[in-house]
Amino acid sequence: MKSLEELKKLKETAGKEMELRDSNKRYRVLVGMGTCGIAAGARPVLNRLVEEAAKHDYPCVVSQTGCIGLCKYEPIVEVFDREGDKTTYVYVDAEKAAAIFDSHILHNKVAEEYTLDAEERKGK
Amino acid sequence: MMEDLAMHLLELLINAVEHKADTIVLEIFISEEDERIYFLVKDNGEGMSEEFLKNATKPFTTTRTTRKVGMGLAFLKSLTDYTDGHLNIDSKINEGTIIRFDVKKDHIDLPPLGDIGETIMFTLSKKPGLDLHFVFKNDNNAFIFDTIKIAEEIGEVDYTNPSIALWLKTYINEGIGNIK
Repeated sequence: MKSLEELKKLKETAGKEMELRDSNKRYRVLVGMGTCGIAAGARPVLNRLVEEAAKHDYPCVVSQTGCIGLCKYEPIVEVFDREGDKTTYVYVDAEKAAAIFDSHILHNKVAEEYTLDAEERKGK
Repeated sequence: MMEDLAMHLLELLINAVEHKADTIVLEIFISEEDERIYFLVKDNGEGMSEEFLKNATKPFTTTRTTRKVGMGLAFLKSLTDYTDGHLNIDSKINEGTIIRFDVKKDHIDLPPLGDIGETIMFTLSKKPGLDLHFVFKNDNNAFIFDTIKIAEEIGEVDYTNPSIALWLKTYINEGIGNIK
């Protein structure tokens, strides 16, 4: 059973981790959670990203954004680096989300095959 | 389209946060006596004008300026239409919005409740400092999760932190499980 006592402990460790590693905070990961994103399956994607971030204790920001106008490519994950440059991943599912997290967030390597660019090239 | 009730609620909660709410009340009341499930989502966001409210449950109504399509409330209206339910929306500009809806509990077309803990985790991780008062009850018991009470007990909590977000999801679902 989860308890408030446990939350209190998590809160203390989390605070320290964030302070220590804030300067290394590199990525912001956003999942499209408009009606289109949610209906297309964004929930398991966001869930998996939160789980990966917690598992690796990685202080990136995992959050949500609304519909970004690319509904046909949902679920969409956007990764912003420290310079604000954006990589857009499309048709993401829980497994791809884990692969993207491992490659892009943990190893600084864009997971090319899942990007919007790759998808658009395929369509041509 | 909307697989479960948690998905409808997530829509409403995200709507509230995107319209500047910083306090949200979410209540789910499963009444065996009435054979109904009652939902309440109340926020102190920017609210809707009478004019907007008139059309709010029609498809393609939206406040967004980036596009002209809105489906969230239209899906909810359709859910209450086909599950012998009711939907009522009260809203005042600059004061907030109260959405109440209920559905027939064992209606054959009623989707499952879904993962409410996940819905709450997503909502609180969307906006740091957001306050939520959550009640899940049946005719005899209630589970309450209140961010303000928790902050009074142990100080401000950052629900956007991934480890804390996961704690939250499980805590809520265990609480609900004890009531069901």
